[in-house]
Amino acid sequence: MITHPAFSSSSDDSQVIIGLIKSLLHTTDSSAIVSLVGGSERIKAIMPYRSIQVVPQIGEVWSLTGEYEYHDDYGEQFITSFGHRTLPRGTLIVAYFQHHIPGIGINKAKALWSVFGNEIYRVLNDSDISALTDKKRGNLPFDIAHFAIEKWQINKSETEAARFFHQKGFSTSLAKKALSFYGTETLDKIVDNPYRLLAFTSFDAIDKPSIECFGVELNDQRRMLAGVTASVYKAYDSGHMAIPTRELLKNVKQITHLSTEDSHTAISLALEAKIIVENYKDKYQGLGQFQMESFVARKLVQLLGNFGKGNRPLITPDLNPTLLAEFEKTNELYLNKAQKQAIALAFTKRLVLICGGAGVGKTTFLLALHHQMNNSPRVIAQVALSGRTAKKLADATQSEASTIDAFLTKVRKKPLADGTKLIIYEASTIDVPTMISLLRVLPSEGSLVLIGDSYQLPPTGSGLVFQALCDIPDIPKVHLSEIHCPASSTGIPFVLGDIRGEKLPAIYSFDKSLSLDKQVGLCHIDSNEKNISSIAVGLSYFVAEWGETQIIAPTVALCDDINIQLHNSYKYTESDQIKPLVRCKKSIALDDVIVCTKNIHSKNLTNGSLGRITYVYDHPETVILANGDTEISFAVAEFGGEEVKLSANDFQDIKLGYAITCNRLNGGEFDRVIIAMPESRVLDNTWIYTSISRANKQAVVIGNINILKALCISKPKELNRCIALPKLIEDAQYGPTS
Amino acid sequence: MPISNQHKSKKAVENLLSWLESSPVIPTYNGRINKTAICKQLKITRSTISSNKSLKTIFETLESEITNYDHESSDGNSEKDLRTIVRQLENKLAVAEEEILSLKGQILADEFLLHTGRVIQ
Repeated sequence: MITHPAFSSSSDDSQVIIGLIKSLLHTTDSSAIVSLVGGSERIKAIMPYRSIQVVPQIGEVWSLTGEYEYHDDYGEQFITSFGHRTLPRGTLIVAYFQHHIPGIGINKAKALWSVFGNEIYRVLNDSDISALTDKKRGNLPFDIAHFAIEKWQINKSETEAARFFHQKGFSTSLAKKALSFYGTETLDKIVDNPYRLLAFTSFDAIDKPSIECFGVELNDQRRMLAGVTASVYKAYDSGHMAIPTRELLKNVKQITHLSTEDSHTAISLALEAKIIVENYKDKYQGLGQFQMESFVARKLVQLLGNFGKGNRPLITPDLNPTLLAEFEKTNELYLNKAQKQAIALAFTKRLVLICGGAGVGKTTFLLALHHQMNNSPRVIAQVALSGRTAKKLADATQSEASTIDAFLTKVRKKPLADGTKLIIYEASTIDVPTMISLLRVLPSEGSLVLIGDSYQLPPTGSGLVFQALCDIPDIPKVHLSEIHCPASSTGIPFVLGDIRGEKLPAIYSFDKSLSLDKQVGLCHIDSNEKNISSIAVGLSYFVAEWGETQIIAPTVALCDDINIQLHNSYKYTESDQIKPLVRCKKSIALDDVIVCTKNIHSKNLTNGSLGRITYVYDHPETVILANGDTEISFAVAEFGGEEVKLSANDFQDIKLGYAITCNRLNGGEFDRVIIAMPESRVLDNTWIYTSISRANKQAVVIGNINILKALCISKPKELNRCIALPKLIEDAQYGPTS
Repeated sequence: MPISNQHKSKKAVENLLSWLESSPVIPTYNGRINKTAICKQLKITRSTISSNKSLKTIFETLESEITNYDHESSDGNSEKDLRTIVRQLENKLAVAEEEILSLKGQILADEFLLHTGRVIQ
C-alpha cells in the first residue's frame, strides 16, 4: 500500500492517489496501464480512457480516484474510476520541473526543492517571480522563471477545471474542450452560464447538471436560449443551414420541454440576442450558419462581378480559337458546341459551373481547358474531395491534382499565385464549410470552375453549394449532356441518362459465365431480403480479380453485416494463419479495406476516404506529428496512394469499408459497384442514380427487380435541405430584400 | 637592482593613467568597476589601491563617473525617465499581447465554427 505523503487517501472504498507517470506499460483502444511514482513508491495503475479521456504521457502528474485490486498474475493494481492531470505535491515537484520546464534539469530541480521545500508551491501559486530569480534563492534566469510560473498557472487552471467539472457531473473531456477555448477564464464562464458548453456537447448532457448543480430554472433565459441554439445545431447536423419556423418551434419544445408559449418566447429572445437571424419570414438561421453562408455568397458575388483588387474590373482574355483547333487536331477529336461554350466560359469568366453526368466529356473539356491555359500566364489548381477522384483527375489531365485537405495544407504554407484558376471536380460533394475553406485561399484575382453532377446525392456535410448554384440564373453555367463514344461502350452513361429522365434503362441478368469485356452495364441478381448480404459477399469474392469493386448499401446495418462477413473471410492468410489485428481496433486486420466516418484533418482524410491497411505494428510506434505533438501509431494504411500512420484516436473514426453507404462515397469511382438493395426508405431515384454513377463499367444490383425498376422511373427526391444561400447571394448582389 | 616600493607605486599610477587615456572598456561587476580585473590586466597588486592614495583617488573618480553614467542614458534621460518609458512600453506590450490573445481566440472560434457549425460564446 502506498504510504508516501505524495499519495493521499480519501474516505469510503475509493482512494485518491497522486503520482508522476514514470512509464507507459501498455496501451489498448480502451485503456492505458502506467507505472505511477510518488516519492520512492511505485504503483501500477490501470486508466480506462472513459475515466480519463486524455491519453496519459510520461512526466505528467495525475490524480487518480479508484480502488486497489489484486490480480493473480500481475499483483496489486490501482483501477481508476476517474482521473485528471494535476499539479504535483511534495517532492514530485522535482520531476515536474524536470519534465515541464525547459532549462531546468534534474540537479537544478533538486536544488530548488532543497532551497524552497514546500514553500515552492506558495511561490508558484502567487507568481512570486522575484523569489525564483533571487540570486540567493531560486537563482533562475528571468525567462525560465517566467515560463515556470506561466506553465504552473495553466496547469493549475486545468486541474481546478477538471475537479470542478467532475464535481458538477460533466465529463473530463468536456473540461478539456472548454479549457482549450476559455483558458484560465473557464470556471468563471461556466459558472456564469453552464449552457456555454453546448458548443462542445449535447443539450441533454449539460441540462441535468445545470439544473441540479447550478440551480437553473426550466424557464431560465439562459436555458431557453440554449434550447433554440440546440435546435439550430440539430438541424445543422442533419445537413441544413436554415430551419423553418414551425420546425424550430417543434425542436425547441422537444428539446427543452417548454410550453408552446415559452418556446415562442425563447425564439423571440434568441432573435433579440442575435443567436438566430430571420432569413425569410418563415425561415431562421443560426448565427454561425448565417455567417458561413453569407461568406460564401459574398465571395461568389465578387467572382460574378468580375472585379479584382480594389474593385478594379479584371481584363479577361479571349479564348484562342487556333489553340482550340490545334487541340482537336492533335487529339483527333471534335469538341461539341456545349464543350466549346464550357471552355470559353471557363477561360474568360471567374465563376463557372460545368454540369453533367458520367460520359458527357467533362474530362475532354478539362484537357482542352488545360491546353488553352498552357499558353496563358495563369495557372490551374485541381482538387477533389476524395483521394480516389483526385488521382483519377491527375491521371486524366496529366496535371497535378490533390484532395481538398492536402491542397489546403499546402496552400497555407505557400499561397496560390494571383490569377490561379481553381478547378473543383465532383463539386456536388462540396459542403459549405469546405467551400469556405477553398474560397478563403482563392487569391483576389483567382477564378473558380465547379464541375459536377447536380443529380447526385447532396454532400455528406452540411449545406448545398453546387446544387444550389445550378438553380441561380445569373451564374454562368453549361450543361454537358451529349454522351461520348468511349464512355458509352460500357452502357453506364445511357443507364444514367435514362434514370435521370425517369425512364427504364436496359437491365441485364448478371451472367458470371460472360467474359470480362462483356461484364458491363446495369445488371441484376434477384434475391430475397435475407440473402442479399451473403450474395453481395459471394459476388465480391467472385469479381475480386476484375478490377476495383465497391459494395454500396442503403443502411449502415447492412454495410456492417457485409463488412464483418468479408473481414472474417479475408482475415486468414494462405497458410490459414490469422492476419495481424490492429491492437487498438481488433475488428480490423492487415489488408482490410477501411473508411473514415469523420473528417480526420490532421491526416488530410475526409469522411468517406477509403483506404487499405498495409502494415500493423506488433509494438505500437511513437510518431512525432508536424505540429510537434506525439502520438502512438498502431497501423499504416494507404489512402489514394498516400501512406498514413493511424493512431488509436484515428481508429475511433475509422471502420471497415468493404461496403459503405452511398452518401459516404464522396464522388469516388470504381470499375464495378455491387449494390446491395433491400427495401429501405432511403431508396429513391437519386439514390440509385448516384450508386450506379459510381461504376465506370458495371453496376450489379442485388435485390428485388421490381423495386429497382420502380426506383429508376420514379421522380427524383427533392434535395431535402433547408438552405439560405440563394437568398443570400441575391442579397449580396442587389441588396437585402425582405 | 631591486625596484623601490615608491617607484612601483609611481609606475602603477602611470600605467593606470596611460591605460585610461586609451579609452578602454572598463570591466564592471555588479554595476561597479571591477578593480581586481583592472589590476590584473595592468599587473598592479590589488592591495596597493588601499595603500596608494593616488591610485585610490583615480579609482574613486572612475567609480563615480561609471555610476553617474549608469544613472543617465546616452541621450541624457534620468533613471526616473527611463523607468517611465519602460512602464509605458510594458503597458503597450500588455495591450498587444491581449490583442494577440483575442485574435488567436477569434481564429480558434472561427475554425471551430467551420468544423462543427457551433459558435463559441
